[in-house]
Amino acid sequence: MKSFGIDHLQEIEISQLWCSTLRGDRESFQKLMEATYDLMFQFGHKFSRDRELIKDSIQDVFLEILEKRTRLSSDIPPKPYLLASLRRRLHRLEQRQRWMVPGDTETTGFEIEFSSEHYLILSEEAGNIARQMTSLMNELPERQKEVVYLRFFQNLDRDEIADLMRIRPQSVSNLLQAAFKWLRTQWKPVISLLLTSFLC
Amino acid sequence: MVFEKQNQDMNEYGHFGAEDFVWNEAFRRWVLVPTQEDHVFWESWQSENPHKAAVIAQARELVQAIGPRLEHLPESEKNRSIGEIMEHFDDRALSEVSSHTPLLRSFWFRAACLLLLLAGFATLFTRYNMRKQTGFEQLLAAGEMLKEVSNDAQKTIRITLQDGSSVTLDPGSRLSYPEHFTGSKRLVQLSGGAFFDIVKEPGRPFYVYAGKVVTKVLGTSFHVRSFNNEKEVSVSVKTGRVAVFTRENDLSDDMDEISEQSGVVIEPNQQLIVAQKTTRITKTLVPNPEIVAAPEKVPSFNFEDSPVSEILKTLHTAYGIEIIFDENIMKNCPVTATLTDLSLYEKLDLICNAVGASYEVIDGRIIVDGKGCQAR
Repeated sequence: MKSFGIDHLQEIEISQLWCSTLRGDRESFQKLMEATYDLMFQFGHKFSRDRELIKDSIQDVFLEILEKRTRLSSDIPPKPYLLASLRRRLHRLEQRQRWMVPGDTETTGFEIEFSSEHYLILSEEAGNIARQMTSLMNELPERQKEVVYLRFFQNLDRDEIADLMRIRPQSVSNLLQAAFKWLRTQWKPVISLLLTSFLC
Repeated sequence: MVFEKQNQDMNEYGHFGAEDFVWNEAFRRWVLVPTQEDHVFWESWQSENPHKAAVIAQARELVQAIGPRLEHLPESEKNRSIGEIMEHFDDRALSEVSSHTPLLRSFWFRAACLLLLLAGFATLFTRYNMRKQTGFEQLLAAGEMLKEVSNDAQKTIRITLQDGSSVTLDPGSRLSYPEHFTGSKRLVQLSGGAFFDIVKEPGRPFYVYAGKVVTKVLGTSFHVRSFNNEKEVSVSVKTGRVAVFTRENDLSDDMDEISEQSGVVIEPNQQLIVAQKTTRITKTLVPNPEIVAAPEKVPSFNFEDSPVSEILKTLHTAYGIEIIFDENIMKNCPVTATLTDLSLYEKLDLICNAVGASYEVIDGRIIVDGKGCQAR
């Protein structure tokens, strides 16, 4: 089954690879990259459309791990660490670009589009609901979207998200709550609309 | 709200619509990365809330379907990038050859890594411990002394456990059980066949280990048959509900696949057959289903011009077995019959014959198929 994030078995495997990578094991380093590259690329793409920039940033993140490996703790959960490093690096590069090319603000914030199109066996009814839900999700403000994405599609916990986005844990909860409050209020009219269309 | 531990009371889900389930963490986990407990919980929830089946099916589909749009990244592009990083790694490794780390630090580092690894395995094992082939003794709580009873006689013997539960042990069978249950679980081990009548103790489930099959119950009566020289293990339920798991010999198998298959819940008159070798599970009905409705609630089996749909519903109430049929087709078939002293299968044969229908037992349920009788 295709899932959007990484399941906990993979996560345990990644933790083990992380550990042996910090010990300087070549093969583990390569496997760690193979296991996390897609995840990082997808995440990076939410901040920038520039594929080369994303790939360069991922390279920097991994090379930095090599450089700092004797100082990095094996207790650090690797996935949040990798995503946070990538996010920081992309922001830094973005700021540098902005400074060098004033007015060029192509790489801004967090952009994500939720969809259900890649999943083909949807029944017509579920398909309709999925479209309604994703279009509502896509209307969420940027930061709420990012929190929803990290929580539900990357399975990060509140503190990990706070760390990654550099906000207080309470703010993470607030953003999530705001997102769901809005989704709920918007969803009600959609439901009654669907219901009436069934009854007629 | 979203971060609160979602230990929702089973009843709370009753008001959930598909879109509520989609954002429920426990539900998502069951759909995307289920653990054994998730299967048990949701299967039993579903059988208690059969009217929610459509909502659950839809929510499952939605959870699988909705996600962030993925940017296409060709495998070749990814491998090229990783290759470049590896070149850097090799360059660095060459320049580092001369510098070596002190032995002590590397020792402690290794120790720390080993610990982390063990911790990883520990989580793995606790999540999947039901499937692990552990020595039964290791599962017992500290201080629980094992007692063993073998029945070498020709007839069954009855054993009363410390919690008041009773076990009727078949000839040629053996039961190991602690004299006092002190842990949070009540564990016994069975080789052979036995009928269990278990006293309900909220929060302290009862487990029967029999070969590769583990049966978990809260309070109920059921029969387990697991003889070493037989190819199959069977579990059948008389009252209440039990969950049955299988254990594997080693953990190297694909665990996701196993967890999808194991953890099956069965209800009265249902029976599970587990193949010893492959641990393949088949859900079916006991050979001779008994009436499970309370004596004062047993319906009358005398029907006069009753629609078949009504008769089938009566059988469902009496035997507690789900009977699936097309309401629209069966409601127009009036039948007059007296079925009182017949077995369930005889009753079904009679009714099906009367209206030109047939039935099958599939997955512990009865499916009645027919064309109806409007034309008559």
